[in-house]
Amino acid sequence: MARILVIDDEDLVRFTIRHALESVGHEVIEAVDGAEGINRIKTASIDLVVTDVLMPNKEGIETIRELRTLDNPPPIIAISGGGRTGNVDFLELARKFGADAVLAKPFSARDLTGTVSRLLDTPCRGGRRTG
Amino acid sequence: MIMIVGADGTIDYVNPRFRAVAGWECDQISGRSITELADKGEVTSCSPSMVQAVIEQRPWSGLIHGIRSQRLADPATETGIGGLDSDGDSVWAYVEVAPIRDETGAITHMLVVAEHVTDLIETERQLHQAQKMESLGNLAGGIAHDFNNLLQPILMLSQSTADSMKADDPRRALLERVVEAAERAQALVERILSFSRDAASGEHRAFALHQVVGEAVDLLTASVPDNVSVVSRTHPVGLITGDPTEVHAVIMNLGFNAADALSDSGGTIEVTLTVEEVDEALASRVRGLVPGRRYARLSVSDDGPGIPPDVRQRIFDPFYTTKDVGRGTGLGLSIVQAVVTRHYGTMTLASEPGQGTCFAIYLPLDGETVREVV
Repeated sequence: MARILVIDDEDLVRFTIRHALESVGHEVIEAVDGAEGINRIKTASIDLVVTDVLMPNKEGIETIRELRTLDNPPPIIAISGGGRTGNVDFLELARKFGADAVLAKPFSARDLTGTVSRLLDTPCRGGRRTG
Repeated sequence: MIMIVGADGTIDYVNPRFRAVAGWECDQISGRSITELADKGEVTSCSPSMVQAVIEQRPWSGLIHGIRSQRLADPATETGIGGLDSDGDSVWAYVEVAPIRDETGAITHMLVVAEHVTDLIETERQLHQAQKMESLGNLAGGIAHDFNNLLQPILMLSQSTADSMKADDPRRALLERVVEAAERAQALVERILSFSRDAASGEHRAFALHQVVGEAVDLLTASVPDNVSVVSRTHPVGLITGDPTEVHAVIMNLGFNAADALSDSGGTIEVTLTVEEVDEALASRVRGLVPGRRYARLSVSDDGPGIPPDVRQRIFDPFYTTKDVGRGTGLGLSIVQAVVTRHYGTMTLASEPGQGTCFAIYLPLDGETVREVV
């Protein structure tokens, strides 16, 4: 099973995602924003990152870009409840900046665990990155 | 547009353009007193100061609203001459009044020069409306973000808990209702967002309008209080291109508004669907219709108390509502208007105190391409 970093400023969302991932045997590490997330990934080995897009301090797009600059970056799932503001689709933007998969909130536990499994099973992605 | 008024207040001359915009016949206007026009309501409440300036022979300038496009001799004839004013009763003009003097300096006439600015005012109003809708779109995006964050734990935790229970556990059925409610809330958030989206991003397809209207009427009939009845007079009108879900929501929205209007007194909601062959006369009365085209005309009317004029002015503004706190968001009619616009249609509102209200929506029928000319 994998160690997964969950970055979201909403504690209820982090709790929910932790519950879903732990129920299928994954280990979860939490961070409240991009800055804490980057810090976590530099100090712990992480197999996959689930990150919100709209967050205070360091937001998701910037976090994804920074994760992509790491050696052997883990796969990234971007999540957002914003959907779209004006003509900007945040999840589409996250994909363009390097997210491997996107999920629009609210998503089901099955959607999440299925996406996690798919990314961890993908060759050359999902190997544990040692911080 | 030019009018010349004698020193005694008699109208000596009105040029053809002025007559066309105001809907006046030459022989009916010349020789009349300018005060007579004001008395007959041919000019509106903001113009008495202009009439007063002419009578007192002093300069004046200002914006006048509402010179009605009706012939003086026959007020029942609503159509403006030449179809210059498409809604038939609303005209804006910027007017300047100046004295004409003879060689001794005595005032012999008053010159009234008016510029027809209805289109300018209308464009400005539409721009203002577009700006409000853009702001609202951004606001709706923020609201959707927060709501979806709140729905995330409700949906996922109830679903996961339900999945962990045995199939015959009675609590499982209760949790599945929670999931169902959360999914409906998710769809509601999506609907709130949908009206601010670009038309190009919508999924439009050809569909039979009368079927969607029929489904909406069935749902409306089942939803209104016992003291309200729903009468449907709909006919197959052919196909329109658009989003059937949005059109369904429009009918429900207008229907619920009508039901609200009838909640105290009770009454009847009538839904009609007909084909309208648009001629010059209709196109001149209803802004946005193209003469010679065929439209589906969908109306939702009630025999309730009607809508006061001051409310009619603001009724399509986002967040404007006359309902009690918690009973309406004020988004309904602005969404209806946005949906109609996205379907290249137009809508009218007719309401008289004590006589009820009728919203009529005109949607172009398939094969009637109006995109290029609207």
